[in-house]
Amino acid sequence: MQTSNWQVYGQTLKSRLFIGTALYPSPKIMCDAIRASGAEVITVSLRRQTAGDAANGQQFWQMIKDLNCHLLPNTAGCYSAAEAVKTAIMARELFETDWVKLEVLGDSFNLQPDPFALLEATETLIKDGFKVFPYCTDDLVLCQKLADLGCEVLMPWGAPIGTGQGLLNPYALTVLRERLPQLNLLVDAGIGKPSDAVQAMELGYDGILLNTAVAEALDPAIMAQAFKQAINAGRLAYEAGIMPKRLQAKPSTPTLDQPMWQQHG
Amino acid sequence: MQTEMQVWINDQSVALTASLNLAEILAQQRLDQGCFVAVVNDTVVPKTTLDQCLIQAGDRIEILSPISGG
Repeated sequence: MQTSNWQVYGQTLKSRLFIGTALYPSPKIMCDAIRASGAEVITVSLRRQTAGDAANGQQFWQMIKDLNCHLLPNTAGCYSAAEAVKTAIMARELFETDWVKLEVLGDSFNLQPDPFALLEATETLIKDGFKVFPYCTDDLVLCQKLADLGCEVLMPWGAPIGTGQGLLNPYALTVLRERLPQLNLLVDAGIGKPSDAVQAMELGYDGILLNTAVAEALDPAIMAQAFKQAINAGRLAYEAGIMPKRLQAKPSTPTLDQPMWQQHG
Repeated sequence: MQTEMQVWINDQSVALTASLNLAEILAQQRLDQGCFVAVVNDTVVPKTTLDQCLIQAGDRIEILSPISGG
């Protein structure tokens, strides 16, 4: 059984997995993994071209085009709003899309987003017509302000990029889901294994963006399938309605007319 | 005799014939292949207007292409 379609900035999608294109052992393994994942949105980036790597760059580009996915360019490596805005404008021209995964980092140790610069860049880009997918922390007030600026999608971290630590703060992610029911929320970064993705989807998250957990698996294509199934299972569970936790045990077998009932307290 | 000018292409100093437009420079430097975006002095130059962008001495040209990203 497949989960229902959903919409991202007016685009109807079936898959709830966004996947990155970096860190794979080879371009072919990248393509195999992306196809196996069923993802319809892939993240890409841009760098200065040099004479030596122009051919590799064009080979990569041809492979990306052949995947026939929606492109989500990122502003990875930017540490100021001005840098991120400039990168987004270049990416729009290069990839011919107004979608941007907005990353503005504030610390080089944990690659934590800078909330202040992120807000500044988001405001500028939305005024310029961009559809912004901000990579943000799980801070509720920051996320509310991003929503106020016009973001229809937010992508809070589960844990720092590339750490694979899973959801470090499920409470904060739960509160975001509760307080921002109208937004598309995707957990971006920190997902290490399929059960992390299940946990996020069971919280009611609309999707997952990941890269390292698939690219650095021993078999990326198989791991991509595992994440596809995990995200599907988590979403189905959320849509089905998860039973509430309780302290007291409650027998599942009916006790009425049970023989020897009088022997138990 | 043609005059020369110095420009910067991806942070490398390059001596070029003066009075060239951006399309001519990119072709000359073999940087116009496939998918790329050109930026002159921090301003993106749309592909449709590369031949209308006259380059001056000291201009900073950046050529960017797609790479993998997470």
